This record gives sequence, C-alpha cells and structure tokens, in this order.
Amino acid sequence: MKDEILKKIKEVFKEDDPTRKDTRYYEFGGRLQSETKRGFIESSKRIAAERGIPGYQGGREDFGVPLGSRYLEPYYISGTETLCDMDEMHQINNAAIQQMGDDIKRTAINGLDLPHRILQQKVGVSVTPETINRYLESINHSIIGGALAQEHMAEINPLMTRDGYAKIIAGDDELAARIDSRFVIDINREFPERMAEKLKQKIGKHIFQVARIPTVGVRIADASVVHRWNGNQSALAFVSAYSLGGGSILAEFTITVKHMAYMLLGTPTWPRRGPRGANEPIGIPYGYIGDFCQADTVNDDPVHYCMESMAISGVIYGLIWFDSYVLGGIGGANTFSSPFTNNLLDDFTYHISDWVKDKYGGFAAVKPSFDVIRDVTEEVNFYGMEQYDKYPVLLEHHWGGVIRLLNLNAASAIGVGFATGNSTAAILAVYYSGSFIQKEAWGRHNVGIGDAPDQINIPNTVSVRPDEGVIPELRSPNIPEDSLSASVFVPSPAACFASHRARGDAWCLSPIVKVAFADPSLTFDFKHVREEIARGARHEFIPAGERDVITPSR
Amino acid sequence: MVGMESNRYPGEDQVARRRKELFSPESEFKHLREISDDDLVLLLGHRNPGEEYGSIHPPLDEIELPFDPISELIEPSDGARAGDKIRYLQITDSVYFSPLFPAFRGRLYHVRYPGIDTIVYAGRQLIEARERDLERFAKEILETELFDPARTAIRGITVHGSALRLDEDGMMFDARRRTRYNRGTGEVEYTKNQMAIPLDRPVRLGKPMADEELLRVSARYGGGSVPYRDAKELWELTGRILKQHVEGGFDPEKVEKK
Repeated sequence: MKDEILKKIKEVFKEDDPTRKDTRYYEFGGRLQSETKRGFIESSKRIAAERGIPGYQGGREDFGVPLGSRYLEPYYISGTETLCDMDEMHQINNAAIQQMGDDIKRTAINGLDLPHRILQQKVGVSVTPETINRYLESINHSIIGGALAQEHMAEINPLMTRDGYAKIIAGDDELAARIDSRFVIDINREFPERMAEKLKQKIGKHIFQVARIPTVGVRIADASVVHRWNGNQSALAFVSAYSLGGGSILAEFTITVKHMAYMLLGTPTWPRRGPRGANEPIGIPYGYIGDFCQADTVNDDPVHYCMESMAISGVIYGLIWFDSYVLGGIGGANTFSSPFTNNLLDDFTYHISDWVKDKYGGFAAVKPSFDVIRDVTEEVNFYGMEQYDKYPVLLEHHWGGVIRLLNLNAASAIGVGFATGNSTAAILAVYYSGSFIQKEAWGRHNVGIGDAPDQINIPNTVSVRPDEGVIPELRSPNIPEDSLSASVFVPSPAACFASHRARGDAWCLSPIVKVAFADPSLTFDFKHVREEIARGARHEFIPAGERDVITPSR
Repeated sequence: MVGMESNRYPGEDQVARRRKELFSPESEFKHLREISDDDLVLLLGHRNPGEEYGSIHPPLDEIELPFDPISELIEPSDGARAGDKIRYLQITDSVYFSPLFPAFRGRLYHVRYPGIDTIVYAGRQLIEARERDLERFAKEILETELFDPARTAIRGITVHGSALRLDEDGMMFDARRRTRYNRGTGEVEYTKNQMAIPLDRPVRLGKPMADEELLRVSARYGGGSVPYRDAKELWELTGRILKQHVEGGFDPEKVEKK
C-alpha cells in the first residue's frame, strides 16, 4: 500500500500501528463522539419543540441501534485534503452530490439538423448563423420560463431559474465561429488538442442543442419533465425566431423539434425495476458515466480519470438512485461513497495499473482472453485481500462485504480494461472478482441476494438481446434479465471508461455527451468531481434550484 | 458411481481439505459443549422455555391436502408434520478465523439439514426452518467445533462486527453487547438473546478456542492461513466455470460439444 495512503488511514483511525488486530470498544461516547451527530441531536430538539412532533432522537439510548459503540472514523474525500464525518457524504447532506445528479437529470440534448432541414425544405425559410443566433436568444428566454408566443402568460421569476440555459455544440470550427460565443460549448477551449480533434471529427458538421432545464424543474417533478420542457420551449423559440404559423406543417415541425432528434440520457425504466421516467439515473447507460466525467481534460493520469468517474458512478447509481429510490433514503451512503473516500480504491487501482504496464508492456497491449481476465482479476483481488489482511483497520473501514466487493470489482474492471481496452472483457472481471475470487477465498458473499447477480448475469454478458443485455457501454441497471447488487452496478461503468481511456479514446459512448458536460456554465464542475464533492462536504458548494427568492428568510 | 469418491472441493491444501470435510454429509464434527434445551430456547428467543411450539397450521395428519406428487416423494419433517411456525437462527462469523464462514454455512446447511431455507450475506448467515427442526439443527451448529464463542455469534439484529478488529479479550465486536467474556472463568456468556433482549439469567457457552486451534480448522484462505495465491487448483476451476458460463450463455453448443 502506498505510504501516503496508509498515513492517511492511520490518521483517520488515530492508530500508530495499522497492523494491530485488536482495539477497544464501547468507550467513545456513542453518537456523541461525533460533532456532526451532536449537532443533529441539538437541532432535532429545537425542531421537536417548534412542531410538536419528535423526529431524530439520536440522543436516546432506549431504542434504535447504538451508533458509536465503536470509533466513528472520519473520511477523506479521495484525492483531496478534505476530511469529514460520514454523514457529509449522504446525498441529502451534500449539496454538491445533489447538484451532480440534478445537472445530469436536467440536461436535454437534441439535434438541430432535422428542424433546420424542415425549415429550409418545407417551410421555405433560410437558416443562417444569424437566424440560429436569434433562435438561441429566443430559447434562452423560453427555457427559463419567459413567454414567447402567447400573450397574458404568467412567467417564471428569472431568479428562480438562473441556472437554465441552452447552448449548441458544433464539430465544424468555421460554423461554431459564426455563432454567438455565449451560446457555444467551445470544444477547442474545453478539451486538449488530441481530444478536441477527435470530438470535432466525429461530430462533424452537425449541430446539437444542449439545454439545461432549471434545477428547480427537476426538483418539483422527476427527470422525465426535461424532455417535454425542452421540447415545448424549443418549439416556441423556433416559432418565435422564424415567425412560424400554419397547421400541419407546424405540427410536423414541432414533433420534429421535440422528439425526432432528442437524445435520452436515461431510458425510462422497465416495469420490473420500478417505473421511472426518462433521464432518471437507473436508465443512464454505463458508457455515459465516463462521458460525464471531464477529468481526462485536465489530468493525463488514467487512474485519476477512472477514480473521478467512479465517484460519479457511486453518486449517480449508488447514492441518488439506489440509496434514495430503492433503499428509501438511508442505508447505503457508506457503501456508495467508498469508491471516492479514504483513497483505498485509488491504491488498488494504482497497483493493478502498474502491474498491467509491467506485464503487458502498456495499456490496451494484449488481446482480450479468458486467461487475461483471470490473470488481472486474480492479481488485483489477491493484492487487495492481502492489504485487508495486513492492515485490519482497512477491513474495519470497509466493514461490509458489499463495500469490499464493490471496490475490488471496480479495480478488477479497470485492470482488465487497462490491459485489453475491451469493455466486454472488463465487465466480466466485475463478476469474476466478486462471485468467484472473493467468495471462494473468504467464504463470504454480498448483501442478502448472495451471488445471484453474478451467476444470473454472467451468461448474458455477451448477449445483445435488449432484455438480456447489450454491449457494456449501453447497459445500465435497467436490464430486465439482470439481477443487480451494488457490487455490480456501481463498478460496471469502470469496464467502459477504463477500456476507452486505455485506447486513448476521447469519449466512451457519445462525443455529444462528452462535450455537453464540458460546459463551464454547469453548476457542478465535472472536471473536478471529487473536489466538488469535498466542497459539498465542507458546506462550501452553492447549488442551484434554491427557493429563497420566493420564501421569507429564516 | 461405483468406485468413485465425491470430490467436494478443489485442492489438497489444509483449507481445501477442511472444506471437503465441511461439505460432506458424512462428516462428524467435534463436540465441544453441551447446551441444554432451555438454554437453547433462551438464546433463540422465539418462545419461553417450556412453552408449546407455536403453529401456523393444524398437524398434517389432521388436514386434507390437495394432491401434490412431491408429498409422495418427501417425508415431512417433524416440525412440518406438527405445523410449527418457521423460525430462524442467524450467525455472524468473524473474519478472524471463525470456524465457519457465511457462504460455507449455506453450503454445509444445505448438505446436512433438509427442509431449510438459508440466506447468505458477507458477515452473517440465516437458517430458517420449522421451529422444532431448527432447534435440532441449532444443537449441532452451536455445540460443535462449527461454533466458537468469541469469533462466532448469534445475532438476529444489528449483526455487524465480522470485519472489525477484535476487542482486548479476543472477542468479536457487537454493538448490542449480547455477550461478555468472563475473565474469572475464561468463559463467554450470553446476557441477551439473538434479538438483543436481555435474558433473566446468563447462558454460558464455554471457553473460546485457542488461536492455533481456530487456525487449524479454518476454512478461509489468507490472513495467516494458506495464501490466496497458492490455491492454484481452486482458481483453475473458478476460471473454467467463468469461461463456461459465458460461452454457454452465448451459445450452449459451445459448451455441450466439449
């Protein structure tokens, strides 16, 4: 284990000898050892007095779990110097974590080529950079609640929707240069040259609109509101900018604007997974996680990019989807924050990254095979388990089996992805790691579903029938024939972003999504994911979507 | 088949040999302690000592059941015949050489105990059965070398502790403090039942095994036992299963042809 990581672990546990197998318990003062939880108790007393109903009662000893019988260690946000209590990683307590989810949910992407073609061919108006600029001014008025076509409309207070806007992406430099720069996500500015050239080449002469629905929009409805909000306001902006009227042609045009070239960031959910609308986290494909992450635009270290991407995966699939939608608010924060806390996943990943370079002579340097999957996955698991054995504080910190599986499964996927550059091989490592190596070595499973996800899903890993699977980049927790646990759906994106990073790709699944999240106007900075989460933990992150404009101040 | 012996686990190292023993229905485990019927009932906490078993249906002999071919094949257990409620025993196993581990408890229970259900987690394992059947199985589980009072624990709620460091007496952490180590006698006593409800009197489960003995019966790799990397036959087998799972899912004939 790297010295600097071990040093932080020792600091976190106030332990000089991390190899000690014994410690003391029951003498830390229960919950009261935590300043954060003491604050909860004091706040809850005031709340109970105000409303007349008891709520949080952590100060009582006669019911509930006796939290704090053991030492409640603080958590470093990995890759930062921010040390915080575990409660600060709960999605409700961390504004940055919430905003990351909101910024993804509220993103609407639609192609403008089709509407432009209809305008020119069927309506008979010219589309020029000047008209596009006028349209963009219009959409930036309507997308935040300004009326455009109908009179006597109630409008939205712009202070409530100040984070809403629309921009465009264009792969053609000449075209982009003729659009008002306030409305362009500038690929040349946001990406290193090697990435920018690949992205521009793939996007080509197409134009895409990236709209951000105001955060408050996805706070009063679910994320499926985004498609409709963007569609209606885009259509109205076209009507206004191009003075459109008529019946059937307008109907065809608005249908095209709203739906024909619209990109769902997340698919609506199969009923078996619990019905959720489009753009909700469960339907987001694994390939997009590495595209949301922009760490590769500011840091050349592949492991750094993978760790930043894993933080997004932990937040989006773990904290926001599973801990909220499935677990109902509490139960998963320690597990789902583990990929981005106390640097343990970083250590496992640096180890296998170095090992792959030594063994195969570099990244994406060996053809995928079952032997390679085995060799890499076994190495990272043996190393990780040896660290847990050598330093019992690590095992104490990763106290739940699913925490250990999640992290070693992720490191395995990253290792195989680095070695082969093949996401299918890498996703197999997720299953081989947990359901075979850790289970047989330790005689321990997962959470209550045991190894069902692994044994059910492995035969489907190379299936492209949509009810059984699809290629890893297009998979998500929203596959009806999959069985899922946290140890599967949080690490699975690693199979994609590690493989594509190893190949030197500029994106994982979509160049459009990659560019959309490079936008500096976003509230959450996807270039510095863990630092943003750390700002949230320090209560320094300023989110969007607040209601203080329309409420009395407390 | 005649002349063939079941190979219940790959490998020939100490851990593999122990696993072969654990997963054999013929194995007999060393008896280490006596737990009276009343003490067992107290620990499980499902009824009071001397109280009748609760039932969820009349005895099978008294009811007319629709035709079910399975009932012609399988003899009902005593608990099923009597109509007992289904009850549970949940055990947490420390990583620090509990004599058995959750996934292997599941396999062992399935091999030895008919009519059960089991749920395996990372740190704990449930066994569910009709109450009088459960008590019979629990006797073997708790009285033999499958249980160590310090590294194995009966926990129906707030089960964590399996991965935590041991306390100064070598005991596994329990947030609800169901057990105490009596330094005078060297024995472990339960002062609460598995649901952490205080008992009227302590139930003694005897002395913990010595570390050397725990290591000897250990069924885990690593951590001072057989190193992970040395279990070569095991990893050869797991690799082959992975490959066949994938190839068989893609095209069953790829596996069947072989």
